[in-house]
Amino acid sequence: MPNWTLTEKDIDIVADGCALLGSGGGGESHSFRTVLRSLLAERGPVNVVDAMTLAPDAQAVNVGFVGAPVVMTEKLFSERTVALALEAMSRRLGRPIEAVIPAEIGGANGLSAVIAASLLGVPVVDADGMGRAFPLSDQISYSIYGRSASPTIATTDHGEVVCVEGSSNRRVELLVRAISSANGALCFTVDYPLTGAEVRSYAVLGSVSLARRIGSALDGARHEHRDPFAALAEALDTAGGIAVRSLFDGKVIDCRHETRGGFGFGVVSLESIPSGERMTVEFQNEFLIARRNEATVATTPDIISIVDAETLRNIGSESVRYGQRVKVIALEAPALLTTPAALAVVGPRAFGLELDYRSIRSSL
Amino acid sequence: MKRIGIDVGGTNTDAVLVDGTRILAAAKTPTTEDVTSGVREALRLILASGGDAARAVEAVIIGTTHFVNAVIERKHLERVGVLRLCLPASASVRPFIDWPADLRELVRGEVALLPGGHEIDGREIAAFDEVATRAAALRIADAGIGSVAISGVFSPLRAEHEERAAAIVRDVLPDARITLSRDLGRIGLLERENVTILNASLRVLARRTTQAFRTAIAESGLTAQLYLTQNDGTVMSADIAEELPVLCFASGPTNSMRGAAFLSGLSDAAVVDVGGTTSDIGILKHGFPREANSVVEVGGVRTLFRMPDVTSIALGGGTRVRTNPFRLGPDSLGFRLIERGRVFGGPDLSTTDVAVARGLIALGDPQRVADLDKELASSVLDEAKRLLEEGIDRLKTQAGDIPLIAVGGGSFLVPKMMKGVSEVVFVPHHDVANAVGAAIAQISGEVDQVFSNVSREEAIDRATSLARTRAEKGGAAPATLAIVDVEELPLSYMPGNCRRVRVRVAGELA
Repeated sequence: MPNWTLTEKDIDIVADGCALLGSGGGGESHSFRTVLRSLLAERGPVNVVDAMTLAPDAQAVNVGFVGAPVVMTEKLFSERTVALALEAMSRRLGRPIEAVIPAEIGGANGLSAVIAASLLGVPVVDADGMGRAFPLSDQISYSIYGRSASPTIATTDHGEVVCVEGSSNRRVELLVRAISSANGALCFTVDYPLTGAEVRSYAVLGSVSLARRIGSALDGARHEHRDPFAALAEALDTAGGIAVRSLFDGKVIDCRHETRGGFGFGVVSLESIPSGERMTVEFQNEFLIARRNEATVATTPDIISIVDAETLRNIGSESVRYGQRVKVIALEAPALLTTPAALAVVGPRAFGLELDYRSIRSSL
Repeated sequence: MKRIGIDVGGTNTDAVLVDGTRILAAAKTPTTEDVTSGVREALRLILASGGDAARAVEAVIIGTTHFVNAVIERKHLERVGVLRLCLPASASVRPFIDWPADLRELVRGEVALLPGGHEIDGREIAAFDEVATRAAALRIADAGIGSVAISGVFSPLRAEHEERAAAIVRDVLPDARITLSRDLGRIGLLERENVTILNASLRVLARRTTQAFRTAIAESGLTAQLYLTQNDGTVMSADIAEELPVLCFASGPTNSMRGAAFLSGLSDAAVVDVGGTTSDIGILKHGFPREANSVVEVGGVRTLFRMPDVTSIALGGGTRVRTNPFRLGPDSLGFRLIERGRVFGGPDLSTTDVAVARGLIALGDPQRVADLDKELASSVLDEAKRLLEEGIDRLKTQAGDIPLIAVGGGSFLVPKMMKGVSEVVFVPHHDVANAVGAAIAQISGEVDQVFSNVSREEAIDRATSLARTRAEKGGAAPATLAIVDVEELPLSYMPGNCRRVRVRVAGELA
């Protein structure tokens, strides 16, 4: 992908694309959009650079918030928290940070990397660690392919900096989550330091451009009163032959939630219009499996999204309500997430579902 | 109980006298610039035709778009001092950050971010700072600002810091008009703060308006209580309306839908209110308008108001009809229909002319449209039907046909049979449906709060109990209270049993 500059006019479009890629998770991004607008107005645009243009030994870092989306809507955002983490990481590494990568492009975290890039005055790499969003921070491609999360720097709005190092990425995630909880379920992290070469090999490439493409297709379709789903399918096909399927069109007839282990588990039930067909979508913050009339039609890591039936605006798992008229759609996961090694971490069995991944390409 | 309902609309002020389920009298008079003259006239007309029954009313309920219009038109708004209890959180997202520039210019006075606010589990983010808060209050006082908006992180959960800040402001500025964000519900700091600021900027207008309404009532010789209708189709006492005018914003469409429900006897149906310029379509669920899902902007300011999910289409009694090529609207003659409409001797063709030609309504001089081309008339009515069918289809969330209640002065344009509609219901007093909705409105109480470490049932019980208390405080008869809506959402990533519960109850005026 060519390098490009992200300006104020791109913010809503990229954020909308990030929302769709959140697979039902990732949280509401309004305050991040607003902060980014101010930052870009003050400091100028942010460069989005293709991973291939990074020097092989360039220093990049992974960034994102760890916590509860609802807390983000109340505590909003403090630049200092992000700046502190970046500064601490640079000190710890003994070298300046040359680029930032979003840990997850899905949801509000997609924008947090652009904010970090703006504050530091460095580019954001056109890539991310998940190609979407996942509940645990080590459900990330670099970890799947053997990179260490250490050192991880976590910061709070109170100006505290915690450095976590360990040989198990899963245990690092556990400790970081404890820090987040102690701080009211929100902290900012900079982790998985990577060289340019490692980014090229282990990150999901082209993510920020993909978010823009999705957002742009939907925005254009809405303005010109064309079918947004058709526009989305065309954009994804051009972006790299990414398959997308419309799995269901109907209304929400039930949404059950249950809190277990600090996550929100639940099931959304839908009925078609006109009636006759049923769909269920299970989630653990992010939507994990969709079944139509009891038959499985999509599973993680494919990106399952529930969207407004007309506008295709994203509806997160915390925003699903009885009576909403919606489409359930699914985007094909990046290839990096569907290898056997990856499926052990992000496939259905990793979430306790007793079935194997089935690509949406095999769906009608 | 006898009540008078008054709807102050953009063009007309409508009034009805209701006794239980009977409509005893109705009146319509043009809305005046000062609002109250129109209200006084409407009351005069009702008293004239309603006689003794009218004089015996115990409540006058007014629905008005006055407050929302003030925001939209940038008129009659006060400058506001804002205190936010949040530091060290939210520092980069300042109050007013996402407001349209012109409104921000008008309303922003002093702004202070202060230590405080709470975490989602109830702990303080930082200790309340008396000294810093007092200094901020003094700056507000020095700036000559009289209206203060106070918000705090997670205040719907714990509001102690907002209350302490309010006490300090009152100490420094005894006459200050203070709005606390915790009274305006809703998780989402920026949106809640926006609503709190809007409310603060409307306090003087609200006081002036409710005083004027009270005066109009008293001068009419009535000793009735004054209520205003709010966004969810229920009322609140005038005292509360004076303090929380933002709760009146969506009165118009809500009242017409509730009126339609009452006049038809249906509680689950689509409603179309055909006015002069637009038709508003909404869906009734259990007698109340179904609410929109998305964030609502008022005058360009982002809020989380519960507003009715209403779709407006460009079809009304005054909609222009053009030929060569054929086009229906979207513009309308509006109030100029009476000068420029063909049946009134004017040059312009509108839907009203077509309706008169077809005998759907008797207005003006039918001779003036006797030679109207029959095919043109059919095209107009077919297009109107198509627009309505499309609008209804967009809003439906269930399969199968639903009934459609047609109200509004232009409802003669609604055909008797439509796709997706099981039956079209026309009702008496359809042209004052808004005022009827106001007259029959209920009192509600709402709670939206996060509960930690209690069971789901316990959380809903506590929320219901709090909502009932609020409804009673608002004037509801306790015995008539019923739950209108319960929503429960467990919170992801949270330790323990954390859930957000929203409960709304409504009942009859006590």
